[in-house]
Amino acid sequence: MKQFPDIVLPIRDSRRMPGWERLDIYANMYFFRILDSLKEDFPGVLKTIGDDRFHHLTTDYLARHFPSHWSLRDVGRFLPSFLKNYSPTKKWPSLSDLARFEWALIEAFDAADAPTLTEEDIKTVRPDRWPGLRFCFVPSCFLMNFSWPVDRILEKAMKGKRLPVRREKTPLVIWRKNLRVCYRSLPFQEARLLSGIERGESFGALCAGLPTAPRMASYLRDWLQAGFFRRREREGTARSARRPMRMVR
Amino acid sequence: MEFPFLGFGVGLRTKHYPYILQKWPRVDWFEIVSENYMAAGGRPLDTLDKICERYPVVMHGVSLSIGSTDPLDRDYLKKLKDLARRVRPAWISDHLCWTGTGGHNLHDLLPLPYTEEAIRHVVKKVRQVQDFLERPLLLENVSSYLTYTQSVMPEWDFLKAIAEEADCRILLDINNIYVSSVNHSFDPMEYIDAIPADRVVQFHLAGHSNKGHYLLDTHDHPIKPAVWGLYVKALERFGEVSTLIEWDDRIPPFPTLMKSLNKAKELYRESNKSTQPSQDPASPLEVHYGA
Repeated sequence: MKQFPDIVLPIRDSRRMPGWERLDIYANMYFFRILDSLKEDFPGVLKTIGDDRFHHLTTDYLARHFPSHWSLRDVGRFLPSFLKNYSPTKKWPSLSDLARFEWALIEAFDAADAPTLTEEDIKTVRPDRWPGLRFCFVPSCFLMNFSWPVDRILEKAMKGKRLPVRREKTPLVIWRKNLRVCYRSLPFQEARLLSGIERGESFGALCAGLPTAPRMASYLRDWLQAGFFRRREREGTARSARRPMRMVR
Repeated sequence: MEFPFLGFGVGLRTKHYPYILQKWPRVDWFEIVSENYMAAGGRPLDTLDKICERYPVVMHGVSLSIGSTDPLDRDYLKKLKDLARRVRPAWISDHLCWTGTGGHNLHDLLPLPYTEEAIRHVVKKVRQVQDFLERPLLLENVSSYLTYTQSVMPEWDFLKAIAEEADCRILLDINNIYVSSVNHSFDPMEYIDAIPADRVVQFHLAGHSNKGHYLLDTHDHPIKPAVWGLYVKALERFGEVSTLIEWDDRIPPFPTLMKSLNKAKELYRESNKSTQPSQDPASPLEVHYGA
């Protein structure tokens, strides 16, 4: 603020401080509040580049993405895309992916609640209806593809270890179970199947691409136990009632 | 709408979730930061639901930006109303301030110029909010660090005029009065004495930091003796007012908050306006106060 002495501020000097210094209190609070918020939301990025660079990153990010939403929770929404072309962190090419991953963890944390489909639920489905079944993810579960092994990068960063440097296609599933955010990387075949589900492919179509039916049964059991899919109640059915239901997309 | 005396409460903070859910401490009520629960789902709302089953809860916002020249954010207001349907709070409050303009959000509580024009502007917006929420709003005085050259009246006259003309209530932050009194060199008792007693529904008590040339409302320290002293004066003037301890940064263990809470209770008893809170804090909440 001091560097613009010609600007006439509509702020009175006090006995102890000139007007610009009084305004500067707000300027500092604005910056540090957002810095703290971003640090909390992107701990892996912070650990990777360190405090000083993160401070500069926040300054540059705010110059480009002035907060417009009423919630501080939203402040970091554009950091992953901002990092894609941010030259001061070029030596960490995985940084944008890491930020995208950390943002996804936030999205999963407070995504809408939904009842999950269980193994017990699908036992009630008639055999002739299985081929046409379509599953739908709960709002807190999503598939993401990364160009770097961000799950391992994050874990190592949080332990203060050196990052793996090899680029590697990494499909991840992120979801929330019992209010905790979980994630795991997906083997190629499982990632392909879950992507098919995300696109709305039927159970029959998914099975057609697999060599053996037991493999699909094993996947399905894992997904149901993890709580990936949404369970929709029939109209007029109490939430707690264990009745047959439709699986929806 | 009636505003019951809730007794002595604390601000609900994430750090204390495990303690609260395990111990169910003898706190009369909790205040939530509304925006922290305007999520679609997940742990914050799940925890809040459990707490609402046991304690009275009030909603305290930081993003209404009632003084901004931007129009009210309808999306925000809708989310606030939806949350109120879920929480059934005893009341809803926010700050007499602006938090942004031109679509930019500063995520801070900035003071307004104390002018007749600003009074008319804020009154109109408070009425709009109250109509939308279908309940009265409480406005809180903020700590401030600057004074606009346009201001023509003291803050207390500004707050009083808005409360009376918009027919809203006041959340009087005792710490904010003290902080501002030092920063702007006024007598805090002049502020306390000017506020109409029938408008005051809640007190806030919090800690602040001395930055040398000014005091900063940091909510990261114990309540200072001077603020306790002002609280005693406020009790003498306003009597039975629901009191809340705020602590937002460097948050201590819950029992430390309880010490501040117990001190507030003790001072209240000494002020001899009444005896105990009218509600048994250990019993489940039987009556929800709502619109």
